[in-house]
Amino acid sequence: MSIGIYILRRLGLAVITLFGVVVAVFLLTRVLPGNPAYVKAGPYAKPEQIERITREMGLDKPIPVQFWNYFTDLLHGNMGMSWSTSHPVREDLFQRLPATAELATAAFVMASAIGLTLGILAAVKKGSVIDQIVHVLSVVGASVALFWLGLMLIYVFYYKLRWVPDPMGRLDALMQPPPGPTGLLMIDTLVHGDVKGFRSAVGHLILPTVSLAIVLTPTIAKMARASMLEVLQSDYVQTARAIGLSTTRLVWRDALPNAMIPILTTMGIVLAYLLAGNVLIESLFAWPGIGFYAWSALMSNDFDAIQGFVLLIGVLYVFINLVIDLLYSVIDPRIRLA
Amino acid sequence: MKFKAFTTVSMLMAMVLVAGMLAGCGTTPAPTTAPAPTTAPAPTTAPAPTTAPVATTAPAPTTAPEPTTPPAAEKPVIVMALDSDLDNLEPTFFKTDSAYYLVSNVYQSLLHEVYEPDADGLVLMGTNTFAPDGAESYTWSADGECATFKIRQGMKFSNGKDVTAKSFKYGMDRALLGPGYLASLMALGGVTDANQITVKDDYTLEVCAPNKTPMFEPVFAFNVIPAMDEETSKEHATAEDAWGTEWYKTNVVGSGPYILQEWKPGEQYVVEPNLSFWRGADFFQNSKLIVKLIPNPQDRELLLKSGGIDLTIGIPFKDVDDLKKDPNVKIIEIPYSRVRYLGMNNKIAPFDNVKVRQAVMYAIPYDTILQKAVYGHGRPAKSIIPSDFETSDQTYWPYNTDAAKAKALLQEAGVNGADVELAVRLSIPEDVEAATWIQSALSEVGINVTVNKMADAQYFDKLNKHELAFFIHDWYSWLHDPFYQFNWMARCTFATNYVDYCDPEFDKLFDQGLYEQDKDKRAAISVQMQHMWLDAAPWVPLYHPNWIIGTGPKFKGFAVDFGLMLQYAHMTKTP
Amino acid sequence: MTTRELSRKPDAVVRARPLRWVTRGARSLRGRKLFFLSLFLVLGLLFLAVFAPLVVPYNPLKTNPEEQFLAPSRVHWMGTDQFGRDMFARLVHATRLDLMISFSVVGLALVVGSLLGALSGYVGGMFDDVLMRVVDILQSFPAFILAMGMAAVLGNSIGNVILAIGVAYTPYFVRLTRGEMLKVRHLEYADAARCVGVSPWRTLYYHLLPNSITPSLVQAALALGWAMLDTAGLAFLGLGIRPPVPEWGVMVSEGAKNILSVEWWTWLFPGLAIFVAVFGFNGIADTLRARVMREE
Repeated sequence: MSIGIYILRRLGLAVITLFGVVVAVFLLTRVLPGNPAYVKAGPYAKPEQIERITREMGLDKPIPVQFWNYFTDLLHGNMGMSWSTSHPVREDLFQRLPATAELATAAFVMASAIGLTLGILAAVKKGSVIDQIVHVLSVVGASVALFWLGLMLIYVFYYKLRWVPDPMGRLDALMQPPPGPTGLLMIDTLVHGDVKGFRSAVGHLILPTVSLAIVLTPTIAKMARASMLEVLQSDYVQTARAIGLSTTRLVWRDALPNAMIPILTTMGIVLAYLLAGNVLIESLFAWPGIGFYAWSALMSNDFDAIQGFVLLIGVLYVFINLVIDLLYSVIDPRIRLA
Repeated sequence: MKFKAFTTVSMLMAMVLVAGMLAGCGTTPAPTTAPAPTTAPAPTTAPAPTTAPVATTAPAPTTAPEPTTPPAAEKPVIVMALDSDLDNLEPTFFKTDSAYYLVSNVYQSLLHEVYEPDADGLVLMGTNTFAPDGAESYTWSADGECATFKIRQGMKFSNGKDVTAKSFKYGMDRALLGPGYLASLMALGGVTDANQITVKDDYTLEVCAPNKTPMFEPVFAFNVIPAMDEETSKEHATAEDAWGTEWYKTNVVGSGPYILQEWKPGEQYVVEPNLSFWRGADFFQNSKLIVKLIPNPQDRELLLKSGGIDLTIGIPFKDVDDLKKDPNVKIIEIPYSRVRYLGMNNKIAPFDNVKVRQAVMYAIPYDTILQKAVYGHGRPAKSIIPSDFETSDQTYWPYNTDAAKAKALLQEAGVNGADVELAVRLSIPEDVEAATWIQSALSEVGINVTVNKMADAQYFDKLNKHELAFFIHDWYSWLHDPFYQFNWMARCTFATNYVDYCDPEFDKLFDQGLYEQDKDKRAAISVQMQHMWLDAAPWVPLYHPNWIIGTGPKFKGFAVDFGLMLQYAHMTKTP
Repeated sequence: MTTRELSRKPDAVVRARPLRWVTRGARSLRGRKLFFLSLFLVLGLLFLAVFAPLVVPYNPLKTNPEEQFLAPSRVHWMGTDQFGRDMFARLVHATRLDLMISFSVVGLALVVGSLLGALSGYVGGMFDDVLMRVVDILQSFPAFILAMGMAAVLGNSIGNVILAIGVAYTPYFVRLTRGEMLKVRHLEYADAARCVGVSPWRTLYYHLLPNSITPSLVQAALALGWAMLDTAGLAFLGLGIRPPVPEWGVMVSEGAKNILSVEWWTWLFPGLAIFVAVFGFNGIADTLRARVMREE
């Protein structure tokens, strides 16, 4: 089938899944023990006030009605109000998304670069010392608890060595972030020619990025190695070698593109995981991202915020999967013709 | 996926989506939508133009301050780290500490507490005497029932409108009649009806309290009962929300010493001095305050030690002694009357039996908790009335740790081992730690405790419904008056009396003592009530923690008053 | 041969296969060191878990105010914590809990997931479609967030944490088993069995399921490591484990309070314990996967 129909099919499936996600999380939040109106009203509230707030939050209506209201609002881009920040959920999420996105991108780039290099190297030099070192490092990296690692890195590199700036958000305390355009500090500071800001942003990114990268590189490295190996052992590669074609040319032009498909899936999974924000890292480094927002929302029974967050992640996942599928079909024509 | 099924489902979905969009277009916005939020987080309108406040012809005790050029370069910027963020800015609704400090500084009340600086000016403690603020003077009527406040002239709100007696009346009406808890606060001062507050003329306000209590004055020093601009509120009021509280959640129109410049939810907020404040530019010892949200206590400590922040509240007790030895850090330790207590719901078994409650009181390892969980940074609590309140009687306390007595009492009560669940907030590490000590001690007398760490929302939900049988919580009385404490913590069916202690005799004594003007008689009643209370053992006072604040080495001017409101204007750093 | 005998023969062939790569693995050279090290670690942990009370003389739950924060010594090999409890005793007892949780989580996810996945792949049709959409929905939540949400909804207990993480992992097993099932259900011996008259359920249970389960078993070994990290992560945040029960994640969070002071043993050892356990599981999983990929 043509690319167009393929995309439409995938989108169709995605929309159905997203709808399911919206329903599921809506029901889940209504099942959360504890009436948020109580918490919002406070301990001294008179019963009439609690009733008023319950009505205001729409919690007195039957669940299907509540859902319908929520759903129609959603279609107009209104994700409701977070009562713990008193701001619209959409505003909250989009304000915090750049922080998570920047950290996610940095960690993704680092993990992919290192992972792909090590994995391919290990595959090409199969059985050698390099291969074994990469193997052991992979297992080690994948076995460390992220929160413990973050703590130790802060302790060693900030507290003892002072090699990195303080683990307090994305910039030095007294610095003003540049006014856009993207919200990604590394880009924005350069756009405005703010060199000091750029260095501060990079400095604050280092530790959380490295923590995440250490834990995620093994996943990519393993898949890269496995996939490359499979391709290197395939018939056509053996043939090409037998004929006498150079190995490097082989690796780059023929083996790698074919190996990329499962690697891309893995990279997609890693990126999706990163974009969901990581509450452990964000609270350790006071990183104002969506992970910590989701955790606070959960702890305060902030329904709309929880729902908004899950929906946002769902959309991101769908988008990433779609991109991967499209990349597949570009790399491997067999898929789109299937 | 089979093609037919896929088509059917997707067509259904499309219909649902279209229906939803059409339906949505027809309805009025749901009550939960925000009134057009701005994308930039600047909540306040710009401060009034810096013309001099109108020089009054009336004899004012202070001369109108000259508009000095803001000495921005000279005065330092203070960076503060807190563990909570602003939840909202509405005086009747906010809950977090962070919001409390902000509201105290951007709004203004009639009086303020007088401070006494210590020897090196590091700490300024409130003296429990009050001086005029929004009012420039006040007088008592002959019978002592009415106070007439002369409102200072020339004060303006941040949107340029004048502050008049009407503004204060509006603010107090809002507190009395609006949503929230402020009505109970005003009732304690003796003000229960809006008719008790009358505007005599533009700059004269009279408040009468026939049943005046000693808490009358402090109530008017509370910045949460501030002057507010009626016109602005009316502009943003709706049918459901006559006081405009929704708008005030993200906006400030106040006449206080500071102006909110910026609020980045989840990150920080920034305040700057209001240079048109009646005290003049020299009142302020800093040029800006940046308040950051740093949820992790170790991070805050790290930043303090490395000089990244100037002030933080909330340092783990364990590290206090080490920090005191650190030359880069100053620790302010203030013993105060907050009490952490172990609540036992008097209406839920097995705690409905007074002997069981007394047994628990005997079983608790008070000393261990004070030394090992609080590391000595606190004081024992031996009465419902904290030792720094007048009339407190710490000598009647019989419950020194005695496991044998506890067991005996349990036997008398006929309780042969019990299984209870102890609810604690997982966000308060001291409580979680105390819970483990408590659990261990109670297991020795045959009470099996499982500790349930709860998320705040769930904890407060159950607490507010008085459904928690066994829990750790705390209490701090803003007004240092024993009857204030009795009121919130021990009166029948009172909302914050979470253990549902109820004794009609006790309440009768309360009614007598609240209005008793004779000091000695009042003291006697208070002592009698404390003894009654201890005999009934409604909850276990665990300890009074000290308030621990960490600052940088050059910091000065930590001003704290009876309400634990931080006054930002005094904070500074020596060069 | 009778129908019965025919159907018995493939059993023997089918049953032996899943075990073949284990015995083969022992013989091969590559990865042997890692495999044996991991095996040793895991078996060691299992031993500690089972014989915990015999191994350590101290009560991991009893508080001893006088012995707060003692440094590691001959009396207390890993020092004591803020309640005066012996760290080593707590670590060893925590082994029980953590291993139990990990195995339960993976067991739950593996059993439920594989059965559902196999059934789904075999039966196809509407059941398959619906199940795959449910799985999609479940996988739209990041696993940790899903577990966090469920633990918050269901309440703070070990059982609920197991359920929460187990449900979060189930989709992987469903997908894997279903994928394999789709491959094998049309293989010749299955068709042959059907032709001969073997009931579909028998075919599914005795023949196809064991053949579809291999990738799931490999995934299971990996998942043991993840379950350990996720449990510790949730416990670090305060979910699931009720004091005073010892658990590695909780111990790290309690130890984290001491990161700026001298009591290094309170955070180092629990973190190391997690590392050792996960390393062991990952090492085994790695070797398993290498074997399986070789087979194919």
